[in-house]
Amino acid sequence: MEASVIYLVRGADESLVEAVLLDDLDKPHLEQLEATWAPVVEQVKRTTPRDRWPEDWHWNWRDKLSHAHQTFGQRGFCITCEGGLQGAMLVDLASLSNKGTRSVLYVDYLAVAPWNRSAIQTPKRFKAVGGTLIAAAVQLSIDEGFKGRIGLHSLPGARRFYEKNCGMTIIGPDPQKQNLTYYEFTSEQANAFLAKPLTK
Amino acid sequence: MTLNLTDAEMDALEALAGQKDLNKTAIIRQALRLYQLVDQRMREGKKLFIEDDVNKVKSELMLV
Repeated sequence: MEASVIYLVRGADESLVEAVLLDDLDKPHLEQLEATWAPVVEQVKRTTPRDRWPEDWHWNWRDKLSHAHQTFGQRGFCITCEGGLQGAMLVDLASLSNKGTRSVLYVDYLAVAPWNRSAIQTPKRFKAVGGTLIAAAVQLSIDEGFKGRIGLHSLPGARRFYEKNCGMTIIGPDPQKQNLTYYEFTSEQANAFLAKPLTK
Repeated sequence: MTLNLTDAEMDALEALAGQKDLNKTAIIRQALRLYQLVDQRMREGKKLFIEDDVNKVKSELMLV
C-alpha cells in the first residue's frame, strides 16, 4: 500500500488542507464508508424527493470490493482527511474497450463523501476530491503503459464534472450500460489535466 | 524471466501492441489480468459468453 500526501481545498474558506491518497481500498475503509457516508445518504433520502437522491445511493461497495480483491486487474483508491474517508474509487486494468481501438484504464466506480457534494452540503467540506481521484487514475494509467488514457461511464449528475472540470471527450450514450454517457481521456487530455491545479 | 514465443505469437503480440497503443509488456500484463479474471469467474461457477451484436447469437466460451 502506498500513501501520498496531497492537498484538498476546504470549502468554507478555500484554504489548503493536507490529506492522504492511498492506493488501497480495504476493509477498514469500507467500514468507515458504511459507518459515515450511509447515515448522511439516508438522511437525504428521508428529507428530499427521490429525484434529488444521490444517484449512487444504491452502490454496494462491499459487493464491489469482494470481487476486486480476488484479482489484480482491479485496484482501489481512497482519500482520507482529518480522520474521515473523503472519496473512493475502483479502477479496472483488465477491461477491453469496445469504444475505440486503443486500450484505456477503466474507472469502474468513483464517489466522494456526501458532505463533499454541493447538492447535499454547501459549501462542500472539501473540494478537489473527485479531481484528485481522477488524477490518480491517470497516473496509474501512465504507470501501467496506457499513456494516461482512461475511460468511464458517468451518472447523469456527474456529467458536468467530467466534461467541464476534467475536459474529457464525450464518446456518447452506451446502450450496453443503461445509456450512461461514456467518456474518455486521450493521452494529451490526460496530461493537460494533470498539469492544471485542482480546485473544485 | 525470459519469455519464449514463436514467430506467429510474436507477430500477434506486436500487432496487438500496435492496435492498442500499448507496449508489449503492457499487452502481456493485460492478458494475464484478463486470464486471471476469467479463471476466477469460472471457478465461481459463472459462464463467459460472446454475443454477436447483430443477430444476438450467444456462444459460450468453454474452458476445459
